[in-house]
Amino acid sequence: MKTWWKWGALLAVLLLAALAGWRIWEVGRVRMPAQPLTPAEQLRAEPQVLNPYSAPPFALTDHTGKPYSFTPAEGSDATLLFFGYTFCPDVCPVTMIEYRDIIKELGSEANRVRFLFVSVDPERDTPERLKEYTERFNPAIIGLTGEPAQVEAVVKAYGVVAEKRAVSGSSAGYLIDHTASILVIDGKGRAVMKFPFGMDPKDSARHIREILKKGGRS
Amino acid sequence: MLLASLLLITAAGCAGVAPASKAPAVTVKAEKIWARPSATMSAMKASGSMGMHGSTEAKSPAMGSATGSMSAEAMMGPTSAIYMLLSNSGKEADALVAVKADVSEKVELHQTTISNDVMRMEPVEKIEIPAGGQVELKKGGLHVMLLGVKQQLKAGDTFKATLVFSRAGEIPVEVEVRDP
Repeated sequence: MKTWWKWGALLAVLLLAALAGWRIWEVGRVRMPAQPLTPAEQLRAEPQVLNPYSAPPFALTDHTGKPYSFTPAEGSDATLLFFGYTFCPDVCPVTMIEYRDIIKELGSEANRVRFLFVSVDPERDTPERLKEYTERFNPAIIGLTGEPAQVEAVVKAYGVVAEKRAVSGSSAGYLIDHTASILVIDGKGRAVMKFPFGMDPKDSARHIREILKKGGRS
Repeated sequence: MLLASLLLITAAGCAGVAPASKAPAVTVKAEKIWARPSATMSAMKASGSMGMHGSTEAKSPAMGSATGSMSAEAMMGPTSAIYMLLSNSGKEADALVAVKADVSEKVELHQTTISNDVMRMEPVEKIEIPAGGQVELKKGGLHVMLLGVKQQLKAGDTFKATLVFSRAGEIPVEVEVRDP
C-alpha cells in the first residue's frame, strides 16, 4: 500500500514537472508577431501591365485654385495618376514620397511626365490644403480637387474605388477606402500600367523610361 | 518536490492569462520611433468653395456629413503617423493600448490594409506584442495616427509622447520627425 503511494506520487511529480517544462518552453519560445502581412509584403512589387485603354479626360481644379483640364494624349509623354486624400496619414504620404523619389530618379526626364494627385475627399481637400500637401513632397506634383460631383465623375470614369466610410471609435469622422495603386498613362493617352503600393521608385522610374522611349505624344 | 512542481506550473500557467498582481518588470521596449512631418495649420484651416484662386481668407471648416460632437480640429486638422518597433523580452504578452501626445488633439491606433488594390484604414483597440516577440508599426500597416496636429511637425523636430501598455504601464518616449 505504502509502495503504491510512493510510486504514484513519483509518477505525478514527473508528469507535472514535464508539463511545467513544456509550458516554460512554450511560453519562452520566440513567436512571430501575429500581425497580418503589410501591403508591401502582400503585393509583389511588380507593375501590372494593362490591356491598354484610352484614359478618359476630365476637368477639375488644381492646387492653385485654377481650372485644370486633363487631356491624356496631350501635354506630356506620360502621366502618373493617383487617387488619395490629404487626411490619410499612411498610404497617401507613402505614395507621394514615391512620386518625389520617382521625380528624383528620372532627373531631367521628369519634365516629360505629369504627376497627378486627385483628391477623393473634396469636402476636406481645398486647393489650399492640396497646395500645402503636394508642395511638401515636390512642387511638380499637381493636386486636383473639385466639387464632389466632379470628383465622383472622375472616380467613375476611371473605375477606381473611393468609398467614404463613417468610422466608429475614431475622431476622424470619416475615412475613405480608396484604390492604392498608381495608374500609368502613356503619351498617346492610353492607360498601360498600374504601379502597386510599395513599389520601389527605382523600378517605377525604369518602367516610365521604357514608356518614354517608346515614343511620346501621337 | 511535489510542491515545487506545482509552483512551477502555476507560474508558467499564469503567462498571458492572469493579470499582474504586483508591478511587473518592464519587458517591452520601443525603438526607432519616428513620425511623418505634418501640414501647417493655416493651410488646413483654409476652407471654402472651389475656385477661390488662392484666397487666404480663413473660414470655419464646413462639414457636409453629420458627425455630431466630433472635434473639428481632429476631423479637419493636419494628420501624421508615428511608427516604431516594439519588442517584448518578457514571458508574458503585452499590448500597446493607447498613446498620449500633446502635439495633437487626438491620438489613435490604426491599421492599414490593402486588399484587391483597395486601401482601407481601421482603428484598432490595441496592438499585441507576444511574449518574446516583436511588432513593427510601419508604413502600410499598423501606425499611431495623430489627428488635429496643433503645431507643424517639421523634419528634425522631436516631441514627447507616452506609450501606454496593458502590463508595462506608461513609458515616456521621444519621437523624431523625419522625412523618409
